[in-house]
Amino acid sequence: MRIPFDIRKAYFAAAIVVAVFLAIIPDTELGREYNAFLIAAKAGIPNTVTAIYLENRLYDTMFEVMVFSISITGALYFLKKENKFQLHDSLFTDPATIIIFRGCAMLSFLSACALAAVGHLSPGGGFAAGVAFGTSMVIQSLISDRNHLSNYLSMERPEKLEKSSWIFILAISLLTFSEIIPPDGVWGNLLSGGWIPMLNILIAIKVGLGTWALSLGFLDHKWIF
Amino acid sequence: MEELMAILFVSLLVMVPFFSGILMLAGKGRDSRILLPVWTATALLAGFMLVKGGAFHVVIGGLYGVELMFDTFSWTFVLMNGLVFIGVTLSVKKERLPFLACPLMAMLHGTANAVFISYDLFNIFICIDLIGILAFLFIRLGKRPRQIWSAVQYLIVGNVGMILYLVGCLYGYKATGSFSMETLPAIPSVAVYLLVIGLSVKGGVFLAGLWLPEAHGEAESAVSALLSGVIVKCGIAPLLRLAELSPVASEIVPVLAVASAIYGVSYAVFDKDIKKMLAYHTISQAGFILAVPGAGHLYAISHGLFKSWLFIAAGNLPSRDLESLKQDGIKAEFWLPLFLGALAISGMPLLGGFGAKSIIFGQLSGFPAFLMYIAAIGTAVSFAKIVFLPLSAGGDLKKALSLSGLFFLACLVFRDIAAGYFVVSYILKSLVIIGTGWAIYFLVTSRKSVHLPKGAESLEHIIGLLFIMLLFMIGVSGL
Amino acid sequence: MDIVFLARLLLLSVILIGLWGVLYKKNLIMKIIAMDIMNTGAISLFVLSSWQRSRAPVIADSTVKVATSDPVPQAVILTAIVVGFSVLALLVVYVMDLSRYFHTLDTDRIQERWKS
Repeated sequence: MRIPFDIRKAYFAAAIVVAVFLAIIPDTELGREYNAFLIAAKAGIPNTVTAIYLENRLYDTMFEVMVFSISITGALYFLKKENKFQLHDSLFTDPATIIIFRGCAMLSFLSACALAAVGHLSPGGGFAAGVAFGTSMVIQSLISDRNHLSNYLSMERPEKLEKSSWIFILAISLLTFSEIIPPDGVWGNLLSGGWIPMLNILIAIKVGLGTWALSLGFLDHKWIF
Repeated sequence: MEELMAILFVSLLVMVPFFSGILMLAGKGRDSRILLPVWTATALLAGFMLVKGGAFHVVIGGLYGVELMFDTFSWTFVLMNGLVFIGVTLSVKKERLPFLACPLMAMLHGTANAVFISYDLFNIFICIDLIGILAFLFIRLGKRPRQIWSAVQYLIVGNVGMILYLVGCLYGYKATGSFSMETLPAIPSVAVYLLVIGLSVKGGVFLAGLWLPEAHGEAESAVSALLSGVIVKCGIAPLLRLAELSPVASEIVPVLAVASAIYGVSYAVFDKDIKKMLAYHTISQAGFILAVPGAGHLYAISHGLFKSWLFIAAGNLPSRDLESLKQDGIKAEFWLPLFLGALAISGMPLLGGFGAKSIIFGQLSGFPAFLMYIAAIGTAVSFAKIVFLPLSAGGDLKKALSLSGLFFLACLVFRDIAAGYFVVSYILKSLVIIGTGWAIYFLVTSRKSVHLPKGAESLEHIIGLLFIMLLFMIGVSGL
Repeated sequence: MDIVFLARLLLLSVILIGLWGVLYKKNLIMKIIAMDIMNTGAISLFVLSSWQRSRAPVIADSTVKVATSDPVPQAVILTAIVVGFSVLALLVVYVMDLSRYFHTLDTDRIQERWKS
């Protein structure tokens, strides 16, 4: 059915009016500057953003992990069905590109480890680490012969690791809700902050393996049409 | 002590279904009957807490944590969740399910429980997004290409709705400093309208719910049962809480409810496809649930039961087109569940719908009550199409009620007896409504049919209409 | 004209641009990208609201009370970013299969072929 041009202009005009009403709502002075201090005092780690989403609002983060995992599972289920299309030859063959890509993949992998390990002391955290890990694996896949690569970087063994890290994240969340937390260490230490470093590493594993599997699924799939 | 109970409830209602879902993903089982204990446990816990009474709320996580509320309202919805899942599982046990079906059902159950016990605006956002993704995967499980397009439209519309909800959450936080629903009265009214619109998209209310007919029309019957029975309630339950807590929302939600009831019924009366007709009825029944925010949960439990029963029964029919069914007739064993379900939704006493409708009509008055009576008569008119389908020869009445049918029937009968509105005036009122509906069916609608415009059901129109509705709400409240 | 007010206007117009794309673009991939732009606008509004004219919410010394920006919206919006990304990934997977069955990415033609 042909959409008459007038109606969509009306919709857009209505949206502009609503946005104007949103813009004119005044700000209230609530004094939220000391939130971070209060939260750090309780959680025991310097990075208060990580403290919030891994301890105070862990209930929400648990659902977020579920969203991510379920969408990766569903996407892979519907990607694996038909039209698998192996990249037999690597896409880039000249040596300079290969060396640069290998360097980038290594840097990405190292930064993933760093982000996961010290995510509670400086900005970073499990999700960023997972994405960095997935990026490094994708870069590596683009330059290697895929059949050769699947001998020692196949996706069968990590599936158990993915499911078990998922279950561990849920179990640790349950422990945190019940207030069963390991004691706070020294401020600024690598092992401070209760379950938070452990959760960072687990989330990094989960998100990293998920993005890796999803990217490989997309790379192997026949494209549009 | 209360926090300990809250942790126990959260682990039983949310974590146990999630764990079972993950284990089923890791294993290779395809039998959904394994999950029956999980749902029975949910239903029993909810029933026990309803009888015991007592409400409390808990903040999980300390400062800026997530607030959960366990009161009659949430336990009623959790009970409905458990019962609908038990009924749907009992009905699909003979078929061969796709691999993802059982884990997705388990996770849907856990997340729906989480929405019903949640008292925190941002937590509801995350859970409803998760439910949207689960529904998106469910709609496509039948492996037919047409389902992909319905699913894509559903997810795009749902996501735009949730973005509006998110902006509303932001303005709520900026005004009050917390995401908890206790602070709802202090939130600026534009933000409350954004929250209401976002939830209406997921709840299938009035124009925001126009994705329902296409999504239901293409999904498998068990999936449609879950969609109408549980997933739509996950949008409606937070709307009911909003309407009770916020004075701004309590003015706008009943208006949306009445509009939704009349709109859904008008389209359902003239539709010839049985699944689309049931989908339009979901839009209309959502209006019935929202009409009296204080008593909506009592209507929701009946609606979840009889709507999912109707969808499962309609899935067993040989054809979806009502015209061909009228000519060929249906066998007795398919006819009986449909007949009982149609009577239940029309409000026949002792079948679940009567108690629910009486509660609603008992608390309404004036012009809204008049419009809701019209919608109830319209429901009876539309379901007269099913009630008066001819029976064909053959067919065995003894095979009519399978295990799931018996289960639904028992729950509905118990529900009506527990509601306890067996006063002569109410029984008379409901019989008059049904009688008028059937009379109108015979005199008017079985002769003529009117083609109502369905152009608004495409992607751009639904999204655009959301903003028109927002503008309307701002304009009406400003004047 | 406060800088925060101007930034808020800018981000609301980002959301409106995304809405324009969803309503007016015919290509399904363009609609999905426009929806992602709307999501980005909403997320950035959250991050803007956490600005309190002071430093990042990383506390160096837990005994000294300092004013920082508000970490709560930032933490909360990390969740929404992941959710937006997951929805996008799933939509792209479905659209790839959709294009294979209907041989087009144009929503009008998909609607026609779907109805017939």
